[in-house]
Amino acid sequence: MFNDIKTMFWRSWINTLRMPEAVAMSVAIPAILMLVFINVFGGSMDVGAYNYANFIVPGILVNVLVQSSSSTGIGVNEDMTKGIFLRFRSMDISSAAFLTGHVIAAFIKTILTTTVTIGVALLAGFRPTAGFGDWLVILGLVVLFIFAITWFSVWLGVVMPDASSVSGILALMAILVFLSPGMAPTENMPRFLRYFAENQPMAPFVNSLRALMNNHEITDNNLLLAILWWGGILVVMFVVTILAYRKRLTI
Amino acid sequence: MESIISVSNLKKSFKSHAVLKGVSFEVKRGGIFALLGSNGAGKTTTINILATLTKADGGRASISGYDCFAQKSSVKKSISLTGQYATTDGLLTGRENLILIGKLKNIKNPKKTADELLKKFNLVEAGDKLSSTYSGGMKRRLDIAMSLIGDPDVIFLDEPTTGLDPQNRLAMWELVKEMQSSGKTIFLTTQYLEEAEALANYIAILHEGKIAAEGTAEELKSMFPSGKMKITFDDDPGIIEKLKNAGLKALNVEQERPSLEDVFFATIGHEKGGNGDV
Repeated sequence: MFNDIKTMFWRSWINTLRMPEAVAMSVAIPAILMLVFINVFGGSMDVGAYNYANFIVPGILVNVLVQSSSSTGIGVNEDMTKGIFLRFRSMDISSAAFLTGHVIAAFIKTILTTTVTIGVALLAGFRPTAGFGDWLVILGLVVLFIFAITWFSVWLGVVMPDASSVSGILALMAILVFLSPGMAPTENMPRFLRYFAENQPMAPFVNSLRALMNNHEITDNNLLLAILWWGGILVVMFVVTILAYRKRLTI
Repeated sequence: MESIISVSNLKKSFKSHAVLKGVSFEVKRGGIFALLGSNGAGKTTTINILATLTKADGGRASISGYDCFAQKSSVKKSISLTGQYATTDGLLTGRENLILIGKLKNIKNPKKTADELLKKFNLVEAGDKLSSTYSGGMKRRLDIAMSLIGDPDVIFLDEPTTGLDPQNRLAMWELVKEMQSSGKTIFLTTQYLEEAEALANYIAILHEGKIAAEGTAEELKSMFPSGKMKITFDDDPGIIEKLKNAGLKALNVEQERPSLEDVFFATIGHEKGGNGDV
């Protein structure tokens, strides 16, 4: 089984490298967004104790992580609707290997795109004051988020009829970060929107990252909520994906 | 010769639509078996059940002595399946496709095997190009090469020549014969009568969920003796005599045998040239 996963990862990774434009777009869109926000809106935005770059980086990160997961769901969907999947199914290989290979490749790709985004942020004026321990917690949260959103993307890939529905839904997900404390303070939002923005799963994640990066106290159980939300999403998405996938193996 | 595939009373319905209504046949080891039928006759469903990908509603099937329903893993190890559409990864090169399958089949030296197969299938030059850029014929060759990795006993080819031009079709026929002569058992489906006739040692005609007729091409033809001609005229002295008297001589008299096409249409009870689907 380990060998099958290794081989499937090797294949998914080559596939990823053969679509450099997909990887480039998942970095370029958030990076452009970040530069626009910092340089166009940043000056007129009151974000309290932060410089605007420090304020917006967690929101941009969420955007990157969601965008980056998109190509994985698309890849899974395209594989499963094409002939190569028939060949895989007819071979005596671990049934988990195909999806696991995709997820591991997605994880490495997303870690790379995240690193590039942080680099662009530093050039644009991001000045984190997090200590080593804080960075470890940040890394842990980001890894949890990557796995959760990647399994969500893979689930879409398994159940959606075509690749464009997968990318459409994930594009909507990437926009959801605007309805969170990620890009702008929530105080001035209309009441209903504000309630949603402050309580949707991205909110505690963004709040925790922002506090950690700027060496602030994490308030209101944000860290615990972030772990519960995204840990829960990860477990649920993993289970429903495996179930949906098993169904697709025998028709 | 012993049977390598045994199928008895196989049944399968999709929702209320019964596709297979009790299909039985045997495939001899080392032969080329053709399952012949029109579009939608259930050929692919039969292959999918044998390859353990689809659950049958009833009946039995075994390959190399392994039960297709209970011993899936052993069945999968003794077969390979090439689908109707290219079963290759378009984002990998031809070489990488072969290495991928080699690794998944746990063979000893995937790279060496890939090189050998590229050479054998005349794909050396294209070996390092993405397989999505291959022509239809090249894709099929790569597909077949991938099927040979891991030395399977039975090779399933689902409509191997559908969509190929005549030249590539002939090349595919040669390939299939070559695989058989190297000891493989070939199970192919086709909707082309001439293909079944040119390749198969044994043909089964699948129609309306049952095997309507089976045998070698010769046997199938002899099931339908034809060519007997009876002409009755009201004029007693006889037409032959009259023709002779008129100076006409018969050079050769031959009883015409039915073509496989006649057999096929007789079997499925359609008029020849009906809907052109076959």
